[in-house]
Amino acid sequence: MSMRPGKLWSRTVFLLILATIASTVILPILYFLTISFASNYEAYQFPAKIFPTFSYSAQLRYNAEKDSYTLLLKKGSTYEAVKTTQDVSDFSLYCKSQLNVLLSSAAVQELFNKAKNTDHALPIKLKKDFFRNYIVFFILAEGSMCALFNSLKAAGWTILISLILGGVSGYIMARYKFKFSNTFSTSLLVVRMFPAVALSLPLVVYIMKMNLYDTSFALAIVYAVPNIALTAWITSSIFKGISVELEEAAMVFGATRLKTLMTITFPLAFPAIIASSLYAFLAAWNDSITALIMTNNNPTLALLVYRTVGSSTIPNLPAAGAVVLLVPSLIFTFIIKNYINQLWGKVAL
Amino acid sequence: MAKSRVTFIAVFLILIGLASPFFVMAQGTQKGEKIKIVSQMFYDPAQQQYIKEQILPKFTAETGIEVELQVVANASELYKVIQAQQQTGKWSTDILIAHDSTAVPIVQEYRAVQPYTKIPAGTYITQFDDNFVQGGKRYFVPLQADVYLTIANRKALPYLQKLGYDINNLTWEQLAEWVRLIKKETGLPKYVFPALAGKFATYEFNAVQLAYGDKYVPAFNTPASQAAFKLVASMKEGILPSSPTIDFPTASLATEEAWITVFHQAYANASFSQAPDKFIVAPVPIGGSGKRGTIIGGHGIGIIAGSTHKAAAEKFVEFFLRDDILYAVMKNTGPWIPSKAEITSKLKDDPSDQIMKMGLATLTGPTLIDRVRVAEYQDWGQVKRLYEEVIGDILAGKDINKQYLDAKQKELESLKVN
Amino acid sequence: MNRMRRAGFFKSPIWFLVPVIIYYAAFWIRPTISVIIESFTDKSGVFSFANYVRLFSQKSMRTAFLNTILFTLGSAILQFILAFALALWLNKKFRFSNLVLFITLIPMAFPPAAVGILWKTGLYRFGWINSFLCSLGLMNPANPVDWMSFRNLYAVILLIIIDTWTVLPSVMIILLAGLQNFNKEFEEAGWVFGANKFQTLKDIVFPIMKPTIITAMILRMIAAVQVWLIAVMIFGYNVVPFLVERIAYNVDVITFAKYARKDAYTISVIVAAIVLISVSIYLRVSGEKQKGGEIA
Repeated sequence: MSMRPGKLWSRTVFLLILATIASTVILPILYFLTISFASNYEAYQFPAKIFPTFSYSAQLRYNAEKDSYTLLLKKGSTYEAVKTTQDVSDFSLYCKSQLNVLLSSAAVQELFNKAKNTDHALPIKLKKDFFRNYIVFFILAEGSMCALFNSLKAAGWTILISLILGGVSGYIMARYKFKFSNTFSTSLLVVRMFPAVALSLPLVVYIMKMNLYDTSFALAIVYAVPNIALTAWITSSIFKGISVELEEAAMVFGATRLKTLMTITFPLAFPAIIASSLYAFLAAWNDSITALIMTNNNPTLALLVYRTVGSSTIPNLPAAGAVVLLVPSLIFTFIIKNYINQLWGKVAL
Repeated sequence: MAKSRVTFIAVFLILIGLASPFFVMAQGTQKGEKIKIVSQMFYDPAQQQYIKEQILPKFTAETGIEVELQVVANASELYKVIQAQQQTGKWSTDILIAHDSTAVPIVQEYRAVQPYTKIPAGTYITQFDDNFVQGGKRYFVPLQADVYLTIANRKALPYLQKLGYDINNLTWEQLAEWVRLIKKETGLPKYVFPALAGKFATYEFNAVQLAYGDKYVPAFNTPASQAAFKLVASMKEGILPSSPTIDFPTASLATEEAWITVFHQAYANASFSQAPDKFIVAPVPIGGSGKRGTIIGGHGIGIIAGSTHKAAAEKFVEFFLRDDILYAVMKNTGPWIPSKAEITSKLKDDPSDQIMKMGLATLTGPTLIDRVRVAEYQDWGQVKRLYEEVIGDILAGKDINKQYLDAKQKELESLKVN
Repeated sequence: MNRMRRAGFFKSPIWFLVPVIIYYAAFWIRPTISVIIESFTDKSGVFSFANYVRLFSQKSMRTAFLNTILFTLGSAILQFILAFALALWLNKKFRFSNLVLFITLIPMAFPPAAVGILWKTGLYRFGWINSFLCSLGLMNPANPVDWMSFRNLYAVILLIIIDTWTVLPSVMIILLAGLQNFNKEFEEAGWVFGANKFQTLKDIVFPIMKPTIITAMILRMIAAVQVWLIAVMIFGYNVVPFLVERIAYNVDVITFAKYARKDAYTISVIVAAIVLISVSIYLRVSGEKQKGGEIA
């Protein structure tokens, strides 16, 4: 009987934590997604909408004295005049570029005629071309497929280099004590301490001299510099957590060091290795600063996004570009998550 | 578990493997001649879209030459692109569209652009020739010019009416009075003075300084400058306190957080075109000198010295400067002031042409004009910093007195190229 | 005898480190040395401390220094507490734990530019944060808070919160990976012997997790000292100065200034020195504690 209130209590706390986490993560993302679907006109409306809209409630008014037409859009409980024109194609262009509404000249002419024959403002519904921002993004971002592959290549190489070099160092750091082992592990950290912003300048000059300019591999080399150290430290801390006795026991039973490593140690450290590969992937995938200096004709996707929509004064297209960039890395994270998750509680000691 | 590991590694190998052939294929598909433009102009995606959809295909249809347009967001990015090509010696760019303020380093430091041997036909504006023409040789042909103008939300107009002023003949004092009245009646600051580091604060101040009679900007302690800074300080209560974090006024104007700004024509247009009925556009205000004042800027087109497609690049320049093409570009990506008399003499009466005319009137009228004097200072970013500090101090409530401005002037002079 | 020694020599683990050392010698040491040399020489290449003297006399550098320390301490503490709590919680398998893990990982995948847009559109006076607060009735829609006008300490706190949103998953993952090795039976044993939750955490979970915690915190601190992009994307340069933000400002905005390069390089050396010192202190302190614990 006494368990009940306690259980109810812990359940409530549990649900509260769940709700807080979900909302702090998801809420900003929802608003962000909505902006990526917003037209220029909608992008800065207040209060901001949490979900994207599909159409506008609007009115079309004929101004007899000037023979012009005024478009009014619903804002709160009133309508706000946004565009007055006499010209059909001007109206159509405005709808396309500012409202993401595709109306042919004929359709506009029809609306104009109807409005002319109505005494008061004509209520109309303007349907949004929902994916307009994304379509525009792909029109602007020439060679996005190429850029996608460049990004994948750069990320793949970064992961390979960091995992192999970093993982080996991590294992050695955790398992062996040699003369310079402390010096080594600290100097790995020093690599991360030097701000990359300043280092990239001389490094780029050097890489150019090696004739690697404008290749994905050169990017991976730069990305791997801090990531090797990161991987080494993460994996070594995990290897340290795996008891040496376990490895020794296996070796007593005749397993070679390599076999022990592959069958006992490696599986136990797998989540950490996976986690490190996620860092390496994201570092390579999301970078546009290094790519800006080191590539020109073969941009990565992140650089392409930055180049095409980065300088927009309205955030809707940059948001759409960022979503395009985000999708592959979310897929990767999702796959990775399964591997981290797979070993949960299944570690047999 | 072992299986999952294998698939995991396999996925990577496949990805990398997949990437290589596609990569090669993509390179292999480039046939025919192709030129590449790097441009500081057309930074806005809507402008890029227009050029890519309407202008470049026309050129390809006429000449069979394909064109790629790469836009750089700012000067330092442009320098990075140029520097990289200069150091590797591989020039992949053929044409450069640069702002007049970057023309000098491009020519003198990077030697990236070659002089024109034959200057394309037409009567061009000469305001930028001190940068575009160096050592008697023309490196860039001007494409457009832009000036400062006033943009206001119509909601602010009743307050102006109350004061009885005309927006088209507004003085800076009247504007300040207007801003203060709005603050008094609504309780909110409604003027935005975008002052993000490295951006436009300098030119916003310069517009006031020139209107008060400064012959040369940047400057801090001339009588005209003192009056100008005093005027901006008098609006302090009415200026958005977040101004130092704002690059362009677009967001503030669109959310109606701000109602009024005096800003760069092209950027002001971005807010205006969102909802033309909500805004009113007017010339830059008149200062103590009785005239308007503004910094002017413009872009020019030049051919890269190391280009491997020079003939094609020359063809493109000729095409781009044609009356019909340049007019269409100016109208649909601006409206901007076209650089050619052949075009400006034929402007009509529709709203975008009217904005062009208004800009042209400011450019060629009795306006006090000065230029972005990048070449005269060791580093323009530092000059900008001095101005950004002034607006920061004004907003923080510091007294902008003679002593303060003398100190700034001294710092400014230490930045001059000897 | 000779053969034995040779085998021992070749079996030495140091051989496995050779590729890493070569890699760093090729791609890291050279640029780093050139950076350090630049920082200790004047324009004509003569050895001098002038760069350091000049920088330490600047007011913006002192503010940057203070802000960086505040940011590092604030974000490291906040992120450690949140990430550890989250990792412990997610480590207990519950119904939607899989989904919750994925949700918490999402911010990590956001490219920096997207993080910038996401928060900047929120922090405008008429942005989504205030829209949301207004819809909950927590704010007056007629006069919302202007987040972008925050300065000094408030701005640093705002940046800590935004930074936490972005990097929390990356701290959590390391801790979560460390918990994988954690033998549940230990914890249960603690329970059996009547230890309460806090004691279990303190005496059993922390000591076993220690290498992982140290790693996570060191990596986090190193990254936190180097904060700049988020600050620049939200507030722009100069508004909330940080040490590495000063570097980026010198490289990006005042590229041609007399001392821009020198300043950038010198600040990098200063940053590296600060990190090196604080990490050594941290390692020493955390190492000493362990000894103390063993003695007790």
